[in-house]
Formats: sequence, structure tokens, C-alpha cells
Amino acid sequence: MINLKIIIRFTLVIGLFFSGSSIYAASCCGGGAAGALILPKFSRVMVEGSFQYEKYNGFYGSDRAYYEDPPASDLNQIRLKAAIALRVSDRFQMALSVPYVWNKNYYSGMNLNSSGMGDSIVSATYETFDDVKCVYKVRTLQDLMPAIYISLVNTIPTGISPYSNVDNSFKITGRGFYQTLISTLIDKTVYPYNFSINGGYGVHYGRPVNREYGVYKKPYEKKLGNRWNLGASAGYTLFMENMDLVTLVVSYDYINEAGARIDGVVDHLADFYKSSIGISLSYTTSDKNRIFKIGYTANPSYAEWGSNSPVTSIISAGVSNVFK
Amino acid sequence: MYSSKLVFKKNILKSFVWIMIITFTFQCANNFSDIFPDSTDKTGSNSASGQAGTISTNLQVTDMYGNQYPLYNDLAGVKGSVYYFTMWCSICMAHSGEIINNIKPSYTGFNYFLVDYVSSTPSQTRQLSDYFAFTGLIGVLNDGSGSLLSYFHATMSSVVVIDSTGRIQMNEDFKDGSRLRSVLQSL
Repeated sequence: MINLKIIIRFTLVIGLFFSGSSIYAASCCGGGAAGALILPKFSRVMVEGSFQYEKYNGFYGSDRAYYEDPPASDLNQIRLKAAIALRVSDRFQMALSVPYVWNKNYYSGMNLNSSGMGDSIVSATYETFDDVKCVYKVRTLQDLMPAIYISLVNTIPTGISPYSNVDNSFKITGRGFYQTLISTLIDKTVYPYNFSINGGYGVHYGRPVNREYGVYKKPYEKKLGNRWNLGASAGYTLFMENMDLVTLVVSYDYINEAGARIDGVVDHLADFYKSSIGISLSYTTSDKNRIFKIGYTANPSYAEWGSNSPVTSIISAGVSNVFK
Repeated sequence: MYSSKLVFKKNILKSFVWIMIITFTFQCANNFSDIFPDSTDKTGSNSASGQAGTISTNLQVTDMYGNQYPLYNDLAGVKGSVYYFTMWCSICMAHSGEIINNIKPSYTGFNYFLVDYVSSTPSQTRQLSDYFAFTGLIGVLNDGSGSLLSYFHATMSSVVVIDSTGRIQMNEDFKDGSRLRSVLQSL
């Protein structure tokens, strides 16, 4: 007979696949603050399930003004991600994230729903430190040293793109391009406070295109523009009586992508940027093996916060489980 | 007790890894055209209607005031007509602005239209045209029935050019507009 406790645990871990969140990693201390899937120090494996609900709330025009979506329209995307991070050596770790995407759109009385796999992410991360950088009190200069992670994040175009065999833009779940992003995360925790900054520079790889939305076209070469991002976050951790941790984090992120190149010519109509602000709450068990997290991120519906890009808000939830 | 917990955790972990590997492999196999993009010209194998090189059907079109007329009326007395399919999104706005501000003044003798395929009625199309300040700058059509969208196999940011004889000279994504410019230049 199967032990009830085991069933409950199994349900909890399975729930990780179907209700979890992606974003959230652990910091080197095992808390939840950072923005990418990062395995805590001295842990072998981490699995993560994530759920994101993204709602489109208009867009920033190329004049940087904010515009509302057409009346009687409702655009939404739901993403479910499963991710795993494995420690390769004391300082190296690798991760894989595989998403499934549902598009739920309503336009002028028509429901336009579709679903499919999204673009996958394979990453490799190098940690520049050997010991945990979270401290309770600063006694020496050494205690101020942050945890620094350097990652190579590769996007694999496994999603449905405009160049797949698909008949309209409402069914898109991926961009159709490989990308490599070099990213750095600098994270410091002096309990109960946490601060982090992150930045990245990404390069898309060019590809031939001979089909648009299911119809063959004269082939051409397309390369999406390079992108860079910057972000910062600050958090406060509350210690519960049983030493479980509750952490509140506020964050700001900026992303900028240059125009695509089509047959070598830059398309300046396609460049964009936008900023987002977010808040998240995480609950970490005292053994730091399990992290539950919910979050909300939004692009403000005001002019100057972006250009040539959609304005969205994202509600997310997730669970990470660490195997030491 | 400790070892059974460990075995349980290992099994869960193994299951997770296998699910990830299978899903990832399935994704790659299912989307072969993006994993290994093809540069072959396969336009000859298109069976879709309304593609470049063919003569357009004289479809019925509806403008944002509710007037209905045959598409060929737009071709009378001009070198041709340009139809840009919009869903009023950010990239659609950038392309529409480029057509109105730069392409239309540079390539005269053509009719220029935005085709709103997401509004079900002409009055909704007119509201949006007014909201985005396009009214009076360019013709705006309502394709609530989806007849143009379906015939041309168009979607967001598709652009179709039909010359004065009814021949479709271009039907593809707007991209940076240079292809549209060269087609208009050639007519």
C-alpha cells in the first residue's frame, strides 16, 4: 500500500510541472530572487514548473505614445514551462527550459484560440565564487563580495513562428530564430536585504526565409536585431519562526532590440524598447529545498516607457524543487 | 525511511528529465522548418489563391463608410493599388506610418489602402481610423467578412500590390518596405 505522505509529495512535485513558474530561481543562498534559472550553490539538481498569464493592454507606438488596443479585443497568452538545472562542476551549471503556449484571443466577436510549443532555452552558467555570498552581518570587506553569475543563454526556435506552416499571426508561439545571450547577474544578500543587478547582450543568428504564414515566398535572408537588457531588484526577507523564508522583491527591467536585417539592410521600423516593473513574493522552506513564488510584472500604460512594442501585464506562479 | 525518500526523489527526478527530453525532442521534430531553415524557392508549388503573378479576382470590398464596390474600381485610372493588412498593432502602426508619410508621397499614381481585418463592422473600422488619425490620409477598408484576408492568404502586415490590369505584383510581408518600393518603382 502506498503511503499517503508519498502520494501527497508526489502530487506536490507533479504540480510543479503544471502549475509552477519559470522565472524564479534561487540565489546562491537558496532564496528566490534572481531572474533566470539558477541552481543554488552546493546543490546538484533543481526542477521548476512555472505558469505565466500575459495580458495585452495596448501598445507603444514608434512615436513612444501609448495606444489602447481596438475596442472589443482581448489578447492573452498562457505559458506553462518545465525547467531543469543541473550542476556540472563546482562552478558550472546547465539548464533547459521547455514551454507550452496557449494563445487566447478575442477580436470583434471571434474567438481565436491556438496552442503549441514555445521556443526552448538551453543555458550554461559559470559562478565566479566558491562559497555562499549571503551574510547576516558585514564584518569584513570580504563579506560585501556579491555572487556573480555569467550565463550563455541560447534560444532554440522550437515554437510556431511566422515561417512555420501556420496561416495567421494569432497562432504564433515563437520567433523562429536562434539567439545567444550573454548575461551577467550580480546578487548580494545581507539578511534581511537583497539587491541584484543584471544585464545581457543577445545576438540573433540569420536564417533564410522561404515561407510566410504558410505560403511560399521568394527566399530572402533575415536576421533579427541584437538586443540588450538591464535590470535591478531589491528585496526584503522575513524569517518565520520555523526558519522558513518569505521574500518580497521589487524589480525594474529594460529591454532594447535593434531593427532586423533583411538581405543585409536594416529595418529600422522593427526596432523596439520597453521597460517593466515587477513585484514578487517567494516562500522558501527552511531546508531551502523548495521555493514557491508568485509575481506580477507590467509595462506601464504611459508614454515614453516603450516604443514599437506591446504593453502587457504578466501574472506568474511557480514552484522550484532543489535536490542536494 | 531515509533511503526510500532518496529513491523516491531520484525517481521523480528521472521522470522529470525524461519528460523534458521527450518534449524537447518532439518540439524539434515538430518544427523542423525553423530548426533547419530552408532557402529553396518553392513559390512554384503554391496552391494558395491571390499570390504574385496571378490575376486577381474582382472581389467585393467595403470601405469604412459602409460603401461596397468591386475591387477593380480601385484600379481605374491609376497605375495600381496597394493594400496593407492591419490589426492596429504596434508594428502595423509603424508600417502604416511609413506608407502614409514616406511611400505614398514618393510613389504617386497609386491608390493606398489599409485593410482592417479585425473589425467586424465598417463603423468599428472608422472609429479606429479616427482614433489613430488615419482618416483622410489613406483609404481604409473593412474586411469584416474576411474575404480579402482569405483570398490573399494575408495576415498582420501583409502587403498586396495589384497593377491596373488586375495582375498581382506583390503579396508578402511588408518587412522594411524596400520590396514595396521596388515594385511600385517598376510599375
